[in-house]
Amino acid sequence: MNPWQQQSLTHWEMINRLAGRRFHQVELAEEAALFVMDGLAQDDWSRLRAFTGRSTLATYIGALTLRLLEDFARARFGRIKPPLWVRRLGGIWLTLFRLLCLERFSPDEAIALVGDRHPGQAKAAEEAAYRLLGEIASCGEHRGEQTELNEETIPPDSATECSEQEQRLEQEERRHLFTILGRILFDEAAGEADPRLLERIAAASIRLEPKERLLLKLCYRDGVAVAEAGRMLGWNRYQVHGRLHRLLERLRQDLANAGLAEELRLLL
Amino acid sequence: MPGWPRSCACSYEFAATHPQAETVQLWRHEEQTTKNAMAETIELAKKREAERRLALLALAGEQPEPSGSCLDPEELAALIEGRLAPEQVEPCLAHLAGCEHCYALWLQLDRDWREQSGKSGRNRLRRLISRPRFLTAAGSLLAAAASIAVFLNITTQADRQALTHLPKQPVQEQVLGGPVTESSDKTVAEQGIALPPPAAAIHPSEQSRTTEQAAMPATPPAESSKKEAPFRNGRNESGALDAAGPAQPPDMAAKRERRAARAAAEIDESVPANADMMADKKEQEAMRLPEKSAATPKTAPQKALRATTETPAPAGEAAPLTLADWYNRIRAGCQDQRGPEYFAALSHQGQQLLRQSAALNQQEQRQIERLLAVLGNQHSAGQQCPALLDILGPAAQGPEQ
Repeated sequence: MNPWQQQSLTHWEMINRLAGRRFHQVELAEEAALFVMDGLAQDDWSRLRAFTGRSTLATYIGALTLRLLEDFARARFGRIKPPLWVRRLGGIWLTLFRLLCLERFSPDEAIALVGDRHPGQAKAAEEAAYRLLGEIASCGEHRGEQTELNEETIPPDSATECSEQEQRLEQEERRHLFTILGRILFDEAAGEADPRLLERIAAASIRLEPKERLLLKLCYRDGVAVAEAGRMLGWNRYQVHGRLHRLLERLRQDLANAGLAEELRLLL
Repeated sequence: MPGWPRSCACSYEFAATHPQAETVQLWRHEEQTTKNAMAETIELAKKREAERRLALLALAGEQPEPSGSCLDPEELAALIEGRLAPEQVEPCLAHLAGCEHCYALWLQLDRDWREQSGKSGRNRLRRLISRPRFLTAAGSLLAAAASIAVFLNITTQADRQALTHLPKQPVQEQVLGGPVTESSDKTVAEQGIALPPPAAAIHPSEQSRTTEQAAMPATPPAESSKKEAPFRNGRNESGALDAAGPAQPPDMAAKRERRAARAAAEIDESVPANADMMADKKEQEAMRLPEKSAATPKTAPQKALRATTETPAPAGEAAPLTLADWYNRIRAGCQDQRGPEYFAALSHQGQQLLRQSAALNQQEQRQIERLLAVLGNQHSAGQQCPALLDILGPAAQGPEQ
């Protein structure tokens, strides 16, 4: 037996587990796992042969599996570009959009799946799911078109060449984003916030370093514990708490400098 | 105590009608504390929500373009495992900050890797050990273990000392052998002298031993333990190795033991000089007349033990108090500067000896009476002893000879 084949069979359990987590339906998960094995075996195990030992083989195969599972999902369900506001919100919004609008899961199934993938986000997932269904009337209408998929065929999320019409569309989507954001963030508090105000706030000269952006995403969007987020970014628990505290202070200061101190006080 | 009403308002009324102001105060304080804690929790939740809104607003701003190409699987795996060099990590994180696709993969893979590594025993142990709570607990446990170790070490040392001196214990117990009244029991106990159990209570196998040891010199417990100490480890009192120790004559060893004990006693009790001189004199006499000293308290313990072992007391019979023993105890008492209770007990024993006067000749009886007369005087031991020793005469030429 080919040693690479042997290695992939050794990790068959992990491949199955990841497939089961990605697609809750058993048949679909099995099909996806077999798709992954085929993908690994392609070109005489070329993906595995590319392994240079910078990481452990198990984690490497895990990374390959996740990518191949995404390929399988695209091949099976096709691809729809999510609206800008969904892309901006990201996290569970993006996942729910894919589950509800692309893979046509029922809301309950989608919520359960998201709750499983993002522990502690079940309540937020429920709210997000029904908000998505309410905002996107055509959600679930598009059935998966079988497409030829590989890494090269995936276009980047934001097109570099944008026509005027696209720009107008994006502007429209942007307004939509802040309307939705206002509803999400301020519904319960003080009625709906003015989208233009939110846009002004968001457009204020806030510059985030990549690590800072990741920290905010991990902690406030995806519900990762602060210490865990710190570990992922290479900081210890004390460093990450300090950095987060300073970052939030800086954001407040930036908004105050942009003349939005009063609005911020009212909103937050 | 009457039952307290459950509802808060009723409780206040109840508390107000009862003179238990402290309880009411405590109650109010607890309620205030609870209110404060709740207010703090609400405040904290509000603060967190405000922070979340601020963060989401900041994220909703301009989305950066993903820098570079998507991460290859091995790079992603190495990033998660922390195997990338710092200069390689920054570009990867910069890309993740802009690319939702790679970010989602990173998040999923990291979660799976964390779960799997958490399952392996070594990683679980490492994680457990790295917790501050565990470190605190481990520190406390180590401190407790160290305390126990120190305690056990001290206890074991004390036990060893006690075990080493175990054979001498009955000797001390035999100091005031024979029937003693309750009052004398008490006084002797106060002096630290343990009395032997009644003859019927002694196991037959132990009786021979106690009889043997009755012939040994009666020395105070502290002194006897101090005497043994320098020789237990084969070292003399100066700390030098005592290679010739076991080969030395027992008289020499006994003398050296006594000197060491006396030195220690001088530190503790500041023994009067005349007692020392007297003891030295007796030691010299014992050195000069080794064959006689076997019967006196100044002889080597081993020799005395050997001599008495050859003629064990009959089983089932307690060791009777002999006249020689009594004389020896008087001498020992004077030598050790014992208290008045000790001499009272000796007086009691002397009276008993007189009562059992069948085995005594007239001269011995007279001597006992003279001694009892001196013991009966209400003088201190320091005043009694010269007279007692004068009557007894030198140890080697005692009346028992």
